[in-house]
Amino acid sequence: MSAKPHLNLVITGHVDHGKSTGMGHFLYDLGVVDQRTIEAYSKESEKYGRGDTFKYAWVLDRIKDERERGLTIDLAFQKFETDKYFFTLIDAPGHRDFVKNMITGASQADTAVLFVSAKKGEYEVGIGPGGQTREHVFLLFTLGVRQIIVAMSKFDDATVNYSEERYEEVKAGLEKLLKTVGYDIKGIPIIPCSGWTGENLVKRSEKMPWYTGPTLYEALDQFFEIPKPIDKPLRLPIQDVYSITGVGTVPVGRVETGVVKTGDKVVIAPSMTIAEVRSIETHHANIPQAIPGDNIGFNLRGISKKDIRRGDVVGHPNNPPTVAKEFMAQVIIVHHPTAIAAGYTPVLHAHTAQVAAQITELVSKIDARSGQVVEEKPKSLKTGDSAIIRIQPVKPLCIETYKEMPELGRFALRDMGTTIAAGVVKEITQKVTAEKVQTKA
Amino acid sequence: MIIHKFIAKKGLAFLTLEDADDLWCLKRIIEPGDLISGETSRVIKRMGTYTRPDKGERVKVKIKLKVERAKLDSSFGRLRIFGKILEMPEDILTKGFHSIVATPNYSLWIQKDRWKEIDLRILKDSEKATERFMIVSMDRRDAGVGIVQGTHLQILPTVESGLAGKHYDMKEKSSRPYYKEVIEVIKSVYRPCTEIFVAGPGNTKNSFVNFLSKQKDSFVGHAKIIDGIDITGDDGVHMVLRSAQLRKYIEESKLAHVTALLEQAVKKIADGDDRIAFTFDEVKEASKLGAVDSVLISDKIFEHGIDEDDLAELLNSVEEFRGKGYLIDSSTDTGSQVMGMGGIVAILRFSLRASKV
Repeated sequence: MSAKPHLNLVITGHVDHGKSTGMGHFLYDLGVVDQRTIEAYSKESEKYGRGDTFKYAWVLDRIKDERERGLTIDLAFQKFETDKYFFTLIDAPGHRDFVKNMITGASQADTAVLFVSAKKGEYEVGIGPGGQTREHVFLLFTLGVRQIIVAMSKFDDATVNYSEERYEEVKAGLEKLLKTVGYDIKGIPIIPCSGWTGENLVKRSEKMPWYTGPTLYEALDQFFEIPKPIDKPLRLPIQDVYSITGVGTVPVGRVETGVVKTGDKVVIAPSMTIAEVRSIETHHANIPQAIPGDNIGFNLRGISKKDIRRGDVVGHPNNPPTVAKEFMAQVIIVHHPTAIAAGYTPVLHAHTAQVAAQITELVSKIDARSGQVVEEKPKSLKTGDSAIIRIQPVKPLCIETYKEMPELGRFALRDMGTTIAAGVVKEITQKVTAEKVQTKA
Repeated sequence: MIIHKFIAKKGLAFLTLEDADDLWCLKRIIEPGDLISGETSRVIKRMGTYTRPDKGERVKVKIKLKVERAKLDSSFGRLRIFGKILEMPEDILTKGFHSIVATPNYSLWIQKDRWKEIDLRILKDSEKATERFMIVSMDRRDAGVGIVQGTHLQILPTVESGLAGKHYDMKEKSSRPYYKEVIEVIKSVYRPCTEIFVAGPGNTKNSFVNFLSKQKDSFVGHAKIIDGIDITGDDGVHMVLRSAQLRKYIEESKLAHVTALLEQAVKKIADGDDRIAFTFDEVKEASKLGAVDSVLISDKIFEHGIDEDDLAELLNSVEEFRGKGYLIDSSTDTGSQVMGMGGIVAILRFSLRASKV
């Protein structure tokens, strides 16, 4: 494995704004994908009646449904290197139907690229109310991704035609959005590029002499390293589980805190099943141990695929992950068409978990800036309100307080295809105790 | 509720209970002194000539009771009707008391000296066909299936396709076995003319409905697609129930109606409109003034220490002034939200504060 420092990079943005094409072309330009592969994809794309337009996107869109429909459904992972870093690229879907998968991807990321199409109409839809440009920016911030690059794509399109004026127009809108959400826009590169021609991805464009900023490749090296919480207890949220012939059950996920080694006994919460780590790999290379930030697959001895699922969290038995039945949280209501009252049950997204969670009590409305209580026991909450609330997940949820483990203490609340609120866990008021520890090793 | 026979002269009615709402209706109708006939089970001990009676054997018998009391066990969906045994098969002793346990699908005769107008109204309202429909919320990975009857939601086991993501290059399996498994789950509870609504992210729902239409089964043609649901499994089923698109399809149903009422109540709270009442005492006061237009009651309200008879009295009071009472099962989000608001919410015709001026 590379000796360079590692960063996880999630690729986000509204559907059809050029994420998979852009990053597929990027990987091709870097030499990660060869010419022959691209030619094969080109031919196959033609068979689907799409010309060769998906030849780059198919580097990452590998599921049959994705290729048939021409859109990303599930997360794709790919490694690549720049001069400074070794990256795990996480290609996320942009379609509003798959925001839950985007959240899973963003929860594993240290950094992000936000693709925004400069094409007339496409930019406006993405940034408008209900658009995913807006929603993804908000979710990235909520999930703690503070380092972001904006790739303003489709500059080769006839409606854009490498126009500096269009660049400035879209840039102004994006900076306003980023600032509103909470980003410091000073350090955010906004790169005009084309996923189709490859301009300003790795190679600098000759058609935009007015742009003197970095290419995407150069901008990636401007990210800074994230401190790794190696000394905290192990917390490894599970993103997916595979059953591989000749190997067995292989969960995958990113180590958020702590260290996991081959031979370790681990506990899988919330079921509290104990298993043994037989082997660990990252990007198909075996490693003896994994540290925070590593995106790994690990073979667990003696458990089957149905014993572990997305949203579970792996830890060590001496300090198992916390499983909450109820917790107090501080939230900000981002958008709700009417009002929220006690009893409301949206879907809570935290790390890789998604579970319905009932708001059982509106404890107090607070001033977001000062934290002062504005109203005790409000009857309802509206858009813009900040509040302390009590939440009961419908099923036991692995979660931690934000103070102790911000990586597992952040969450978003969504309902009917919209992000309703974002929050942090203040206190876990009811835990599930490990009455029965199941040993499967 | 199905009313098979009603013989006014004798005060006799033969009923079959269909759901938990009907248990509550029966609870409101039954009074001490009424006569109930129905099937039950009783432990029969056989006396030997020279031996002690054995432990006994539980047998099914038809029994007639004179009611002393009826108690709803809403957590378990049962109504216990306790009374003095009047009639029993000849070979079994007739002394003593017994409890008949009425559950959904239970049939019984009830005989009253006098059927009050409110009893007849409750019976008539409960006779409206209990709406029933199914929901499937699925993507390529898993499918949640639920069946709704009245305001009760039953979640069936989630079906998993076994498909994984793109972390490793795995051979892609056909969706057919997965779709067939979902169909088997649907078939296990399906009754003719039950609508099926299929939702979920992406194209899987369309693909599944297409697959369903090619099957030689009786529910072909009854499946409709619901858009805008991005979650699957149990949570997806709950979300479908809140969707505006579903409500358009089921707008005549009790669930759609109570959900709309709840939204009205939440809006009143948000707008500071005080034509709303929350606690039992407040709603009781409002009912006596004829202020209650609609009242939503969670089936778990008894956990707040409310007495069943007091609740029955409250509902009768509401209905006397032509208000409507709705008992809502807490299995749905609507019912769960009513429970979260204290178990009872009433929309008022006028403010209680205004009436005190």
